[in-house]
Amino acid sequence: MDKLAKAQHELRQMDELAAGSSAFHRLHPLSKLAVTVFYIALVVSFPKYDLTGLVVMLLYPVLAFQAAELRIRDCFYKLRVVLPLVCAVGLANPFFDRAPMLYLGSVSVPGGVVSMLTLMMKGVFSLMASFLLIATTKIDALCAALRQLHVPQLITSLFLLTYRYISVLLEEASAMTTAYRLRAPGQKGVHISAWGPFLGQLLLRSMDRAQELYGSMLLRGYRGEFPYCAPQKARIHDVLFFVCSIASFTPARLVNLPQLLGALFTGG
Amino acid sequence: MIEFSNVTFCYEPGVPAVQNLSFTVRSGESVGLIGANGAGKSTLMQLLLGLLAGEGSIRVDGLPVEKKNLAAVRRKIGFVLQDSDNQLFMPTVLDDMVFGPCNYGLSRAQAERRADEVLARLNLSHLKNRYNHKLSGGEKRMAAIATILVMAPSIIVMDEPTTALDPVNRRAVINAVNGLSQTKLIASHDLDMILDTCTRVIVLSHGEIAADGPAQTILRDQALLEANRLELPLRLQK
Repeated sequence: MDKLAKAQHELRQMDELAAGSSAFHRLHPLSKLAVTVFYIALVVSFPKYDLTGLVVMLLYPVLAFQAAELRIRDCFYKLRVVLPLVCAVGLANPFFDRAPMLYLGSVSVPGGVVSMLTLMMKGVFSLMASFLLIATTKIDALCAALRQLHVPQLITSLFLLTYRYISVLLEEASAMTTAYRLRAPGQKGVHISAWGPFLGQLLLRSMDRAQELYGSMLLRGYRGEFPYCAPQKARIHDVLFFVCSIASFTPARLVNLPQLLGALFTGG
Repeated sequence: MIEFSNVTFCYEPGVPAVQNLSFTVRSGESVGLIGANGAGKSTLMQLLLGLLAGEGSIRVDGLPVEKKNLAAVRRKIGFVLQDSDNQLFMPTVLDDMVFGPCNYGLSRAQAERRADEVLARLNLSHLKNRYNHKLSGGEKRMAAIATILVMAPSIIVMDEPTTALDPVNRRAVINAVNGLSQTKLIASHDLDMILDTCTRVIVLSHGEIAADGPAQTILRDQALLEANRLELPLRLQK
């Protein structure tokens, strides 16, 4: 399987994951969306040296992955392209911020290292929460939730169609690279001299296919709104999930729980 | 009923893709549309569906195919595309089947009930929750037909419904088509299939009607077919 076909396969796997039937999958999309946004906002708002306080926030994704019957390994595998970028964000910090922040025994740890780790953790936690949301919520349900928040129809439709268009683009690109490779044995990837026509053809072909798909949608009554995104009614456990999540995240942000527990045990 | 009256359409000025087309398809009739590549079959179907707009008049059950009537016209016509991958754009067969009915105001539950009925009628209930990308070519074609039937159209238009199918799947599609009571307009190069499914055939050549008559007569006319770059159906060849 070439890289493009693999990417296509992984994208479809996300649809399959989102169609699961765990308790977490069954939660109202709006409550999952709201909790995810709130969680990410809180995680991002932690001060840059509050490494110990931030660690507590890992509990939500870990517990939620269990409830959703998802494997954390799958999350990291699917995010393997983005994760290094997120982790690279704070790499320069240790060079600029060298003042000792804490001591591990006799070893001093500079503030730059602490802030780098904090930044990395913020990125990883936010990605985990986002993955959790899209791996447990169908894309159309997510759009329905956005519509309930009065996000304009144009934006939700654009979001949904873009998501579908990615598969079309990948399918076409995969078919074209296969055809290319079969006639260019021994070459790795597409030769630079063929990039121009290749990209041009890819655009034209994918636009043709997108046009056909759109025609097929129009012929089945599509008028800009996805009607199957009928808003789902919130049930008591959706509200409970939202309230309990907010009630647990907020103290974790306001109080440094690990430090508090440490002080309790050490009497400090 | 479908009525074409002096319909002309040009992709480029002065080069008509279809020219002065006039014919009528009566309710319940099954009409095959044949012709060489570039004869105008696909253009004709797109004109009928309002995807292209040309000169002349096209009526579907008395309704002119015009911008203001497009929704009503398209509600009457189910179009099965040549490439099922372009027809099935949702993740699962069920999602795809409820797309049309929901667009026409049915609730998800009502649409699902209707989908169940259609799938059962076509012996495809096992495909209901399958992912479209995991279906075989034959299954995709049958699922594409199901997505159209679930909208309960009064007219079914098919573009090459048996292309790239193995004999068993091809026969399944032919049987499914023969089981439909709606008015049918089927464009195909598979003349054996046209012979099996249509009572009348229209031969298109360079955008014009070269012949129009009973399938049994036209599909046996070797000279006519060869003049239009076609061949006798395999079963009629000696």
